[in-house]
Amino acid sequence: MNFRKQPATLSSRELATGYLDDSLILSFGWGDNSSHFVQVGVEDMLQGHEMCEDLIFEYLMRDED
Amino acid sequence: MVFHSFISPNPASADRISDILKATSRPNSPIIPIYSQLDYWGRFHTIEFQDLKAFNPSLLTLPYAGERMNATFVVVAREEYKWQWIDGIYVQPRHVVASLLHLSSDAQRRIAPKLSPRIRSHSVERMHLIHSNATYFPKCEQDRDGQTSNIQGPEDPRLIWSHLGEPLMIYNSVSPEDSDLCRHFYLVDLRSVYPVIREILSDTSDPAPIRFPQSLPIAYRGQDGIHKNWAIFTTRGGDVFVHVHLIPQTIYKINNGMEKVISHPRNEENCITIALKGTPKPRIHQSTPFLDVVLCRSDDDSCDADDPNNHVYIGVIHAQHMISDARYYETRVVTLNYSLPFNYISISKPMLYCTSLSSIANKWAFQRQNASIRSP
Repeated sequence: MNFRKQPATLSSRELATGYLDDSLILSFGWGDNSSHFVQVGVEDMLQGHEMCEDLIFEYLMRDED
Repeated sequence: MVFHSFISPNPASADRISDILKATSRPNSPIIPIYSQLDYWGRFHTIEFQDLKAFNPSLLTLPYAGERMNATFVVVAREEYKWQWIDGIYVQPRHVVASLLHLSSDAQRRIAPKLSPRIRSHSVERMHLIHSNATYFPKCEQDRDGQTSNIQGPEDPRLIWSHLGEPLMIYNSVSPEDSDLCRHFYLVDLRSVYPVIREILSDTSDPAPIRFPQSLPIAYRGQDGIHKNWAIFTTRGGDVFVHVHLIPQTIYKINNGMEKVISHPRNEENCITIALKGTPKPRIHQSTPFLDVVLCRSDDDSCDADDPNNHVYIGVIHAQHMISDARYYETRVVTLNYSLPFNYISISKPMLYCTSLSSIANKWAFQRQNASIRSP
């Protein structure tokens, strides 16, 4: 997984950090015999996250019940 | 019950990051579909390697200088399974290949949704990584599966741009002589093992010096068993860290060896175990390096990108499910705090790649093929 910026950057240093409006290249294999990738928005990968703070709080409350 | 408490090094920063993440779109769907921006129908691209097959790829976007070599990305991948008889012993030679990919500008043109779009790589090379001509590796007798005692070479490469602009690669291979381990991780600068990348980066402004010119064996004191899927990440100062385990969260810093910086008790629950409750812990592992994200848009002048409180690390993790004898990987994204102790901040819902069109297209192609067979 790594960032892609458009237009392409001149510096490899800039590719170490991404912004919400940059893209991510996600690579993956299929059944140990093929190679694939997709390009998605950084912001898309952050949508609908559950916050750890909330998950842990709910977990503790359930445990106390 | 042992529990991983949520300790934020900076509560104000944690609140701000939490607010930003909560402000993203919150779909009601139990999963997040992933559509590729590169294809009109959102499908994934398939990489074709010249004269060989390879899987488990890792890609790096190249800076503009790559265009001179017809290269948008560099890809490294594990060459397909091969078996060979050597002196009456069955061995697995095992290689990692590198190549370049060029993405044409018309990738999004509207065409009928047939199969996954294909992209052919070029400048394919088997990299000279740590490899042995031995046919049996006695240090692997401890491996209960017995799968590793005849593997001669490298596998599972992962690439990352360091904050200094170095293309770093981590992979595993046979262990050095002075190690008791069966398999070992190594860290190397890609420029040292795939010269075309050195050539491309020499054309960029102020290329970083090469810190890891040879494969550096990395292991920690007390390490045992077979390890896979270590995830590296770097800080703005160029320090290199290794996220060794998600559960319990365990992080080392590469510093003349490996220095433990984060560890938690073995049975501790954490954000990931809670979110993936019911999945056996050994089946949950990281799948990519952790990358530095600024939680702002690049044109937002009011956002201070130099403020570490505006950053998180983002990485992909997998929960492995067995369906009959096939492995299925549930993909999720995890964010980490940008500074020590790198707490987990959030976890996504399961993500699914857009494949339904491929299924439809496969069916359509099958029907067409049958029709043409029936035609005189």
